[in-house]
Amino acid sequence: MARCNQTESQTHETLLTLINVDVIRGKRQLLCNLNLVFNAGEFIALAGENGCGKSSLLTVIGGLAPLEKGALLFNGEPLSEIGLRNLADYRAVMAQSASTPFGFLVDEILQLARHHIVESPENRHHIIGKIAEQFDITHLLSRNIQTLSGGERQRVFLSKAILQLLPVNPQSSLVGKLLLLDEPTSALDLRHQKLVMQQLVSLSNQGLCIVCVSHDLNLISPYCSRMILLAEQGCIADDKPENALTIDTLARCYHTQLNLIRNQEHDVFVTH
Amino acid sequence: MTASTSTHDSATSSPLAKASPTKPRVTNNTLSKKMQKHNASAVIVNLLVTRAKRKQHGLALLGAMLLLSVYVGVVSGSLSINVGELLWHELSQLTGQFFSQGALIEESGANRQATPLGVSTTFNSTHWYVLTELRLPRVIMTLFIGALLAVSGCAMQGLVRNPLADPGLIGIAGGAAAAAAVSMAIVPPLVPALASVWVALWAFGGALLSVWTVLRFANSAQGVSVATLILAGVAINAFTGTIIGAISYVASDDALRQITYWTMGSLAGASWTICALVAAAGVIAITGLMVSRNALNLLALGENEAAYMGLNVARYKQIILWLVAFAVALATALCGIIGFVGLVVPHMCRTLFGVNHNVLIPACALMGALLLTVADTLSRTLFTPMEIPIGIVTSAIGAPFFLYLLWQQKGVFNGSL
Repeated sequence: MARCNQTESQTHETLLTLINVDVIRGKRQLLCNLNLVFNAGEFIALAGENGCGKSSLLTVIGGLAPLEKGALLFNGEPLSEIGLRNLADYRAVMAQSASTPFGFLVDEILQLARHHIVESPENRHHIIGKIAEQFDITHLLSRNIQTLSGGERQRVFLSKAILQLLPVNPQSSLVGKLLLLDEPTSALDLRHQKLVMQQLVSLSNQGLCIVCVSHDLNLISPYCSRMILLAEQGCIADDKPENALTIDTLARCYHTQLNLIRNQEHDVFVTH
Repeated sequence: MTASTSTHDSATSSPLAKASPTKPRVTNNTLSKKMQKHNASAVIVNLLVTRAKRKQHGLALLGAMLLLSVYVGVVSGSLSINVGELLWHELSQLTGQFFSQGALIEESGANRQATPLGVSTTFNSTHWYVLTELRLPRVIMTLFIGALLAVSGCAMQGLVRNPLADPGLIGIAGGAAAAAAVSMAIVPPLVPALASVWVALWAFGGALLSVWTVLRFANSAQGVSVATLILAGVAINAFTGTIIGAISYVASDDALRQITYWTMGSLAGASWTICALVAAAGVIAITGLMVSRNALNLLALGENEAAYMGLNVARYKQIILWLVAFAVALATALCGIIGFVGLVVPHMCRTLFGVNHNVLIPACALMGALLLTVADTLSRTLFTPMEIPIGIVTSAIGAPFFLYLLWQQKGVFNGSL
């Protein structure tokens, strides 16, 4: 399977450090004293039961929610001290069920993603064309975003998030950049699930750090390099997926009895 | 692929994109990959070139129609004016000494033939006065007010991500009307020098006061909350409605009549001074919103999304809101409430030009100017010498048209709101 071998050889450059971070939504404390380190080139899956704070954690890491307690270092700097405009060069977010009440055309949305980047129009079109091809949305470019199906829209917004981070020069590495995804594959069919996973792995091989919230453990675990399970107001497992997924951690995480199947390549699959 | 074939008329269309449908399978793998790469960029370039061309043509057409409507607006009215003849006459008077005597004689001869009574030289001065002191300032002011209202409506809809929003939403019209009613019925001009602009001053103050109140409610530590903004706007509008109702109840017949006329809007008070004020406000608002067009595009995707994409959301929301508030408050103070332009014009432009604010804002400016000029010309000429209040004309055109739009987009609105 598409295990990222390059990641091991690539320097474990620290990208994001969470020190004793609390995540609070309204008046409810969702996560407390969280300590995590995200490195360049990692493809991290974030899982946990509904309402355990996955999305709220993403808003905190994304720099939109003010930090109540603890410290958050992005490339060695406190995240709150990096302006939103600067942060947009290094961190992109695909929100859950992203949409707009206005009928933008797909290519307009993709162009908006690069509004902060100074580049020639040819270069911009080339990069957009490349990503559109990789995520199989070339045929949708002139369509109204509101007329797309859920899965098509998801691929467009995923492409938009990635386009925000891609450097002008396609050869330069993606080390130091962070992509946060909130259930990017929830509406995709099998072919596009596989396509998206493969593209994400190839991006992480170029140095991009990806944090992906997902409920589809079986889809993401063969591809991701690390799996984090959130439960009991904290992180109960943070390891390679085959080590993180055990009957015990799954029971603590989802409060139900689940079974595991292992294949010859030691990939783990969760079943009922 | 379908897109590339449909846009094959564009000059930059690549031969590869055209050839590919006829050759469905290319066995050489590297070649087909290369073709695909070419195709994807070519598709985008084709799309952009044809779209940009179409939109430019659309804007040019709008501009031409606007010029035509301005011309019609200037010549028609209770006194119809032959602008060409007048201009020629003035020109020849100004530069009379440089013209040969023969040309002047020929000209006046032609005039006499056209008007058998032979009064052309005497009534020209009246016509000249009507043209330069009444018609021109009125038409130009109308144009700027239309553009300003439409652009403001477009910005409000983009900002609150609600296609049913208009500048009245944040209490501008309500506040202005309530303050105007107070000034007309209760507080007579205290400073004699300000008598002519007394009502306008009150209306301007009232509009800004109600916007400020609405924003006080909507502002929180996280910035302006759009949901609170809309709800506070509804509450303020209800409150100002009560004030107007109460004042109307106690007001004298004269004041009541004044209040009613004011709320129906009128462009009749135009003069070059008022025209200059409105033009300045219009230019500032349109330029300011044009500068923040990228911010409006990002905000249309959602506030969090815009922030993730690097926009200082709080700052731009304040800028856009106050630009709209000042411009519309001024327009309302000077001309009363002119409904529906801010609501309907952005919708018309979205269906014609797409939702990208790069094109939408200039399109709204042109379309708003065009529609209000046409509406004003109609209001002056339909039942001459009586003049229909402009607010009635715009609502009479706007409301059915808006219903038609809603009918057309039934499915769309169900899905998105």
